[in-house]
Amino acid sequence: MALVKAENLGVEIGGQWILRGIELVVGKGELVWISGPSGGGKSTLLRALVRLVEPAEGRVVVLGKDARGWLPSMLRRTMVMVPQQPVMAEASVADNLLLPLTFKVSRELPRPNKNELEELLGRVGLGDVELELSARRLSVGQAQRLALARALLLRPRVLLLDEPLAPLDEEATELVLKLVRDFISAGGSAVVVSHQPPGAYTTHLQLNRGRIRPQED
Amino acid sequence: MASVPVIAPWQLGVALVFIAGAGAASVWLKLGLGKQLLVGVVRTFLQLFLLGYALVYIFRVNSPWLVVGGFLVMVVFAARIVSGRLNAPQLRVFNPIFLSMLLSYGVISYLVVGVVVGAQPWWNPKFFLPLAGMVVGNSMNAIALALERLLGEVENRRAEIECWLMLGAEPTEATASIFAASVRAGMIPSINAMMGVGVVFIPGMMSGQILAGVDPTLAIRYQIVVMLMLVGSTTLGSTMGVWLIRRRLFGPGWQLLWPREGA
Repeated sequence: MALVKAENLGVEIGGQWILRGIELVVGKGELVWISGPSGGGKSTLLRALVRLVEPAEGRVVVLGKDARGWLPSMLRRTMVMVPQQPVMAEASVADNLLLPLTFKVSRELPRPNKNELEELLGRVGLGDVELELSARRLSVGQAQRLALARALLLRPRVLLLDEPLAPLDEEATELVLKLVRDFISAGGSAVVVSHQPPGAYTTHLQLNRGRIRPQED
Repeated sequence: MASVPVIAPWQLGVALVFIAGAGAASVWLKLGLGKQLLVGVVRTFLQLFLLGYALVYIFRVNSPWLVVGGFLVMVVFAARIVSGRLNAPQLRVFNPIFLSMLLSYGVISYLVVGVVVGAQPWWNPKFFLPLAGMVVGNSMNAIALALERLLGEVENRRAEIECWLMLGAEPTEATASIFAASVRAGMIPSINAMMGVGVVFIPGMMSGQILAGVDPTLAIRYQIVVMLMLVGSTTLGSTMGVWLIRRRLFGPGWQLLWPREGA
């Protein structure tokens, strides 16, 4: 069964179609790569999957159930989106990691201890970052990886990553790609918006002016 | 009670000398305020004369319906002023603002007049209308400040709110700190007023009572009640207003709708 399906999805904003006729299937253990020119609707597609924008036509089905039938917070915990420019609260690295676990929908999830948090930071290449450090002092690339670690703590079924590699150097890119591969090997699925291929992918969609372009690869 | 000197029409005319001075300054300094000054003077005379005669009529008829009607008119005008100040027509803010003002000001006015002052009956127009008028006038500004803060913060911190939503936050969780900052913005002026009252300024109501010959020791008790009731009404009004308007900022899928994308 497909974990996520978009059926004839269309999003209209301010009288303009940003997405139209989008068909997308994400199966278990699959990685979908979305590319295309800026302003082509890639981020809007991810936002529509988690209902941050409401589709004007078509629908999104998650685990066999229409996204509109989900409690929105549960939908977004099941399918966590990491934006292109993640935001850090004015708090320490540790508090930022634990913040989503304070939200009502995730309070029953296990709370990692200090060692587990440090181990997680190491996995995203932030092993030298102190847990007590103010997260607002991290560079854009570090914040991007911290945001990915924060998303993983919610134990999502699907990760939606919007340009996760853009601010990263070669070494950090490799780390993030490995993390995504590990997530997929563990049974997760991912949709990655990126200009460069995010490693071995199952499906590649090219979005241009809100429509899926015929594949060339 | 000492008799109050009557201000004759010619004395009112003499008071216009202040406006003449302001008008001269506007011309001399090229402030361009002449028209506003003129309109302001005409409105002050007209509105206060109308209010005076309306109050004389309401006091004479002494009907609870007229008192409640007068209160409703004040709240409608206050809600219109605040809605206009927010300049957010797509949010349709009038109804929630009107509702939060009606409930919070109604409850506070009733408690002050009926319970604290102990007027009989509670709608006694000589007590209810002046006190409710002060609640509406002062707290209106508090609600406007709180809501301006709410909309401004949500606009500036949109990315942050959406980031928390993406991580499973409910709208109330994603905007918890903005909610608190907004209510605080509404409450601060009335709290600051308590700090300065009697030291930095003598409030208008107390001055009016003293001018009317009331014993200053009685006037201060009324003033204390007024200061406390204003804290109550600004707290209740700001909290309700922010709570109701915040609900309008999110769609059925808990997506942030303000400010509208692409707009």
